[in-house]
Amino acid sequence: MGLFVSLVPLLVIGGIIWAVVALVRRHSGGEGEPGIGTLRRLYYYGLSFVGLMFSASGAVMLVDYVADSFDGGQILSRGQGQLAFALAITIVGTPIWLFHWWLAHKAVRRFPSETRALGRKVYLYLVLAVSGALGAFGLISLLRWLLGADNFNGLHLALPLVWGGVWGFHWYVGRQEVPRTDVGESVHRVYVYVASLSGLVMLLAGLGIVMRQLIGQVYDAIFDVQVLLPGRVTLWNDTSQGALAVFLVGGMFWWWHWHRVSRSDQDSTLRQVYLHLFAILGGAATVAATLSILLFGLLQWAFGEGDTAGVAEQFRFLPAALAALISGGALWGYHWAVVRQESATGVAGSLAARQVYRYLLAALGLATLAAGLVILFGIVIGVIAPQSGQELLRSDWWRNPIAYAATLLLVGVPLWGFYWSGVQRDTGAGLLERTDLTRRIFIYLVLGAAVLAALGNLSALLFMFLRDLLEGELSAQLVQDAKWSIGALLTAGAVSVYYWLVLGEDRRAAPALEKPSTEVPPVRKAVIALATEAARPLVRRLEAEFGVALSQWHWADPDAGVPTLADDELRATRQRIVEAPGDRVLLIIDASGVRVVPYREG
Amino acid sequence: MRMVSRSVCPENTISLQTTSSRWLAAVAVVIVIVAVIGITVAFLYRSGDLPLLPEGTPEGTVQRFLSTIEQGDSRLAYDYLSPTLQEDCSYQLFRDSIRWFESTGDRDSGDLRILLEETRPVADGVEVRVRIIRFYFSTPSPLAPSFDAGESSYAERFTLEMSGDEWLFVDPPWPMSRCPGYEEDPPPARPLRTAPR
Repeated sequence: MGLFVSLVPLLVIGGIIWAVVALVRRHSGGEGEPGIGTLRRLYYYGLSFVGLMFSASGAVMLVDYVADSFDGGQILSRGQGQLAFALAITIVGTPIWLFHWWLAHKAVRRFPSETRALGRKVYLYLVLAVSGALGAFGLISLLRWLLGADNFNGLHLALPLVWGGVWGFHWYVGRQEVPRTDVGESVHRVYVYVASLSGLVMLLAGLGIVMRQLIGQVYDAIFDVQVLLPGRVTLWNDTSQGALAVFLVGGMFWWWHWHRVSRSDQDSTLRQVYLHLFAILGGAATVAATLSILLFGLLQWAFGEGDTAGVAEQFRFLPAALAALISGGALWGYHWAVVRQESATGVAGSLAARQVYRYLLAALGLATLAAGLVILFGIVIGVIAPQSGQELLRSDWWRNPIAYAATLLLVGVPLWGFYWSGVQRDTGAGLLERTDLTRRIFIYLVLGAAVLAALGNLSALLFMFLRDLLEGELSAQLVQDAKWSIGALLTAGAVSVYYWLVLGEDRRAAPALEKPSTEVPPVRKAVIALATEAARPLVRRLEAEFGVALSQWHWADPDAGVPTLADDELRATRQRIVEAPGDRVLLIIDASGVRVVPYREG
Repeated sequence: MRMVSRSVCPENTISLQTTSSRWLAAVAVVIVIVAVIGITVAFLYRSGDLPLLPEGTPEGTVQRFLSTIEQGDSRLAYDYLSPTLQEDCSYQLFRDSIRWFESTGDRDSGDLRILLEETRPVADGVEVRVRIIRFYFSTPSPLAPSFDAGESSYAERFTLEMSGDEWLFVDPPWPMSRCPGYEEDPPPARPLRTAPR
């Protein structure tokens, strides 16, 4: 038994290796192309990676050692342990890396298809990710030192020099290897968008802290805050210097990966995921959360129980909240503009991503709204229902909770209302399918969560009732004790009934929508309509007929005219689009009719 | 612009054409009515200062002590401690031991309320049981949406004895957290006081 247990880690490692090998075999396309084989490739690049990590780490320690010597500061005592260890791992690691990299290079020269192997791509982009992260970290520490936030340390030079060099070399190698395969391109995209996101987060975090420092100065001046330790509250301090360093490095990282590398990658699904689910949703969530904080502070001050120390303390959160609001707003606005610009070119994946984004924001709004309703119901029951015990302190306990509930409702209702009504409107107009998977997932998730919440709170309510009944203590106090459960039950009940009705309407409407689709195959193409402004109603009719959203290019010539199309002509146009080759179609709409022009980019 | 699409499928818009839309409108109306009633009742009947319980009763003493603590007058609150307890616990220790209550923001936040549960006689005096109820909520952030809110409550007891013509605390009263010189079980040499009720 003990032997078997000790073999488990080995079996797990073996299983992982087997899975990787199977994946590589399936995706590398190597079966049809000559190559060195998956196992040998794994060996070359695995050892290359390990050797490179050893070698680069040793080099960092060596440069650090040397740079510390040039610092000019008096080193009172320094052992030779660092130098010995650095030399040891460099001497061992460098030949391992060089030898295996040379083997891999030889394999590429012998079999050019090796440049397309998944194993090689994973190696290249893994090294780029590790060296990029460590190089950026080193660059931040270097800038912190240059800006005066830190004392000199050899690592300030060693990290950016060594890891920057490793990154630069592998970037150059990766760029040389064209044409790429789909799988290789996917690995490249994962790296590019993860790096873009990391850079963006650093950029915004740095910007937010710098803004917070700036606004904090203004806030202190306006409210005449008495400063006791000026060194910590001056504008140019350690915090703002560090934040500026993070801002600059993050900005550079983001600019390189987003603006330079991914600029021509508009067809990528991963780009749409990055844009909608991280950048835009992240920006929207930041704005919603910050608005909640601002609104709650204001409502608490207006009719809640604010900070007794005064207005300055009550709104102490303002500099941080405004900084977050500006950063989040910039993130949201910029990426929304990018999406609008790219959707005008008819990117097919953007439609699906935009739907997911709308449903996610509707879910966020609904959750916020539901939380607000639960608190509102609880407060109302709390103030109306009789209380068994005499109140000793605070008759107006409800003030802050009601400010909180109002905040959640004021944020949640517009958020859910805007996105859900938009989705419902487009669904009703036929621009979105009622049987769309995203819609069904959203509705079933909301319904499931609401039903579970209703059942859970019903159980709690029943438990309290039976407990009091069996213990002979049943009284009106039960309503007070169970007020939050009652609030949750009412909210969950209302939500679940509403979405159950929506689901029923979808079911009833589905056959009517599916009927034409059985006669005519669905339009699964990116369609751009070149038409005058006057043709907009016709474009909407076409959207309703095709069941997809069209991107409209505005025809500047007002004399182009608008055709009059009967329903059978609309269906004929649809048929021509379906039968057109490729996945992109341009519709030229003028007085003579609708011309269908298939095209492709590049 | 949407006229054509409406003709495609009548069950589509947010207008009151569908059962779900009508349900939504009805729920919204009910919520508005409930909110208006609740807020009106709250402002009319649940605002302002609470009536003080009669002075010279254990409950009245507890209420005045808590109000004094809430107002931040720790010197006056200290006077509600019995002389024996004051011997074990200097004013400075008392002040330090209630500092947590102020630092957590409970005193200022208005999210705290205290209900009287019962008063019962114990060996040398009376025990007043109260329920302390706190409303809590999380500060929203992009990664942790502001959905975590609710109420927590726990019971506390105050032990009082009659001293002269007033009731005073003989055990460290909440929110006093500790008193280094105080022992839970008083030594036998402690003078007994009768508690006329």
